[in-house]
Amino acid sequence: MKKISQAATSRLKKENDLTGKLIRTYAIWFVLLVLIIVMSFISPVFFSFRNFITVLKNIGPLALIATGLTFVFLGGGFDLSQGAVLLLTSMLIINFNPVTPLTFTGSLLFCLAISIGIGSVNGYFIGMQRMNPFITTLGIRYIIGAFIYIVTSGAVVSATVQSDILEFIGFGTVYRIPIQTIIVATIIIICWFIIRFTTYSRRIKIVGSSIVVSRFSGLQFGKIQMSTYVINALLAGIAGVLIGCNIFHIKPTLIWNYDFDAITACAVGGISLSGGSGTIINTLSGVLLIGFINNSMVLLGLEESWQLIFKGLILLIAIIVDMQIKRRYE
Amino acid sequence: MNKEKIGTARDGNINNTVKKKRSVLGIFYNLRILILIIIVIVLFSSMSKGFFSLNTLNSILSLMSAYGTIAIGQTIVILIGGLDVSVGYIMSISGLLLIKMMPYGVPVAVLICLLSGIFIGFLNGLIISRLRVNSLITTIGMGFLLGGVALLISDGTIHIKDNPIVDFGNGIFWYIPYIAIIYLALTALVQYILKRTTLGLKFYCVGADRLSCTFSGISNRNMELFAFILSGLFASLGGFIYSIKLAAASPLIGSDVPIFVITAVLLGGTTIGGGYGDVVKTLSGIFLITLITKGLTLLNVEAYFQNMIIGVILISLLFIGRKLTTKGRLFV
Repeated sequence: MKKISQAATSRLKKENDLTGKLIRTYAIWFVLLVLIIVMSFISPVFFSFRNFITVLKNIGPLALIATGLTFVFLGGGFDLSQGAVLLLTSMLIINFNPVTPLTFTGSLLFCLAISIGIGSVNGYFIGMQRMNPFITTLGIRYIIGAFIYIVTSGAVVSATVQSDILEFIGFGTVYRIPIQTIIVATIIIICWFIIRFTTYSRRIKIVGSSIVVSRFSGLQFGKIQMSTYVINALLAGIAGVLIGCNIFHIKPTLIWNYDFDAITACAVGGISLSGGSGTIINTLSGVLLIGFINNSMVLLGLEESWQLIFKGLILLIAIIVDMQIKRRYE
Repeated sequence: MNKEKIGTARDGNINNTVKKKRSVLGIFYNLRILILIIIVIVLFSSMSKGFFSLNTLNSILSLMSAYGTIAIGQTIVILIGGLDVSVGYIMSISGLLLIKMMPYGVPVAVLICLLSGIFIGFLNGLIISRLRVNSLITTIGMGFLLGGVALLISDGTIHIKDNPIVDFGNGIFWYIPYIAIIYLALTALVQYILKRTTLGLKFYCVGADRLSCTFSGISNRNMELFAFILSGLFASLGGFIYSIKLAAASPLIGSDVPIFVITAVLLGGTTIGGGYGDVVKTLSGIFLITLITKGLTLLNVEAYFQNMIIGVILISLLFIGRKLTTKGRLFV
């Protein structure tokens, strides 16, 4: 008994230890800072307003899907179908190419409704029917991917003349800040508020930590888990629309890249893959790290092969450093 | 304990609970892949004339050998509760090395091909077991790295001409390709090790409950390391088989291999999160997928439909299993 109380007090002490807590929380931000400082010395154009804006614009869609994935991870789930949802909505918006504001609203709502529908299907199977999230979302991903292939018959979808509204969202700026970045930042701030201040996020975390505890606390764990999948698919759908506005022709083979980047961003940032812990700030650090790695590789003018090698190395080092620091202070 | 479980592993052991009930539906559910295979064979045989023949068997066996060999290693990794998504790139790197080293003689080339897989698997296992990083993230990072290395050593797709090993890769013994014999022998060997030796039992134990393993004197870390080494070895064997069959290797095939292999393993019935499954289940899973692909090709249906069918099968099988186990219970 004494030993247990001793262990508890020492653990409490460790949890209240401020430096430990700071280092534990901000390990990836330190890695990011080191990367930025090193790159500023190596490349003359790296440390400039214009370059930072470019990075922020490029990571927009990734930030959205990683934020969505954060909800799912917090609720103890897993999602592989994001890339498929993203691809589907971006193809739809390119295909509609709405000219008037009314048609734009209509097609936007249609895209979002479809992604919410896919999220609900995922959530129904995983939350309500308690099916394994990995296999379910893998299956959904196969189905959507095949659907996209069948509809497009594997060809590139493109808009020959992009409409003004899509061009404004894709390339417009306000005081040199891209519209896309403003949209993404607004959504992320809302998500941050939800996770930081509402009881809803507490419920998600309890469900993610332990289904049994949430059941005995009187929570409707199925519905809560389902809601995380709906939010996730909605954010993936918005990311798809943003991508569609930005590149206006897209190949049906793009699915795979986005899934892995989002999972990596979450894990590197420090979201627990088994559920229950993490914040949006964590996710954001992972997303920024990936964005800045990609940007520095391009600025250094490296070949594709060396880009991949350095990206893999930096990710591995980041995750190992993060893990070691966490273990030391836990 | 840092259990590296992907998703909610507590939803895992569907099959165990079904077995206990011993209902008729439960028995049918346990034989689900076999029943599906029979249904698919009957369906395709009635729809296309050339389907039910030894030639089809021959082509299916040669199609499934390379990915099947990789799936053996993946099964072991999933059994201990991990995931390895770097297998595709290990496959392409070892295939490239095999062909690059061919001028130094076939034995040297094969040796280097297999050693490269073992070495990469060792690196994966070291990071995952000693530094206790999540296996999915480690292998994603390693996948990026290996993809770059593969591009670096290849300079595009490379191929070999007029080599006895290519004749071996395309050789046939009474409708059964040599590579399929290698694959089936490996499956039988690993199945024997998993089911009949203490080494196999240890793999199941580590996947099922790490804490009990620690108290039983089994080293979780060493078993994890060993599983990833085996995964690397089987991935390089897959690369070997792929390259001697096609007489070529490409640095770009890596990205879609892991998703295919994991799908085959899960379709067979091995549960993610560890502790349940074996390689014969994986064999049946990969056989079913290849059967559907082959049948649709013979019917001149677009290849994309096969993905939709696989997706529907995955979800509906899981749904039926869930319905069978949760009757009258609030949660499992």
